[in-house]
Amino acid sequence: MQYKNEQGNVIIEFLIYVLVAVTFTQIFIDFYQIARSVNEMNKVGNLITSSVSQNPKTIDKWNSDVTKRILSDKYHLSNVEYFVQCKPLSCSTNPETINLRISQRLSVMGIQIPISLNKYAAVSRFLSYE
Amino acid sequence: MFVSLILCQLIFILITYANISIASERGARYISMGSFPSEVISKTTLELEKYNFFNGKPKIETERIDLAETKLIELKISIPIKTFFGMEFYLISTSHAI
Repeated sequence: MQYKNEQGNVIIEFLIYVLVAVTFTQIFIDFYQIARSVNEMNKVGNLITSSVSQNPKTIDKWNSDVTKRILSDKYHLSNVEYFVQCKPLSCSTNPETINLRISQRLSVMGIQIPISLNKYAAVSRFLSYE
Repeated sequence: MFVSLILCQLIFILITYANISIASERGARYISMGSFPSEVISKTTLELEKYNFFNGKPKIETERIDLAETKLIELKISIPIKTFFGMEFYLISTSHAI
C-alpha cells in the first residue's frame, strides 16, 4: 500500500515537472515571438521612414499592397498592417514629419494580442524635392 | 536538469539573435551613411566574433535589390547554431539600407 502511494507521488511529481517545463518553454517561445516581431517592425519602420524622407514620391508605393506583401516575405511578418503619411497630408506643401504606424496581431498562449509601433521622422530633406 | 540546459540554450539563442539583429541594423546604418559594404562586413564580423556564444562563424552577405522602386542594399547575417539534440540551423537577421 505504502509502495503504491510512493509510486503515485513520483508520477504526480513527474507530471508537475513536465507541466512546468512545457509552460516555461511556451512562455519563452511567446516572448521570443514578441521580441522578434517588435524588432522586425522597427527595422521595417527605419527602412520606410528613411526611404520616404529621401524621396517623398515613394510614399504611395510603400502604402500599396504589393510592397506590403514584399515586406511580409522579406521580414517574415504575417498579419501586419501599416500606413505611412506625411503631415500635413500633402507631401508637396512644406510637410513637417512623416508618421508611420505598423501593427501586427500575435497569438500568445492562444490569445490574440495587437502589437503596434509608431515611428516619426524629420523631413528637412523634403525641401530639396519641392 | 536536461530541461534547464535546454532553457539556458534557448536564452543564449535569444541573446545571439539580439546581437546579430543589432549588428545588422547598425551595419545597414553604416552603409546608409556612405560606408562601403566590404568595410561594413569586416567591421561587423569583428564585432560579432567578440560576443559569439556558439562555435559557428557568422556569415555576412550584402546584395543589391529593388523594393518599391527603391534601390536597396540588403545586409544578411547568418550564424550556425547547434543544439543539444544535435539539430543544426541558421539564425538569420536581415536589414536593408538605402
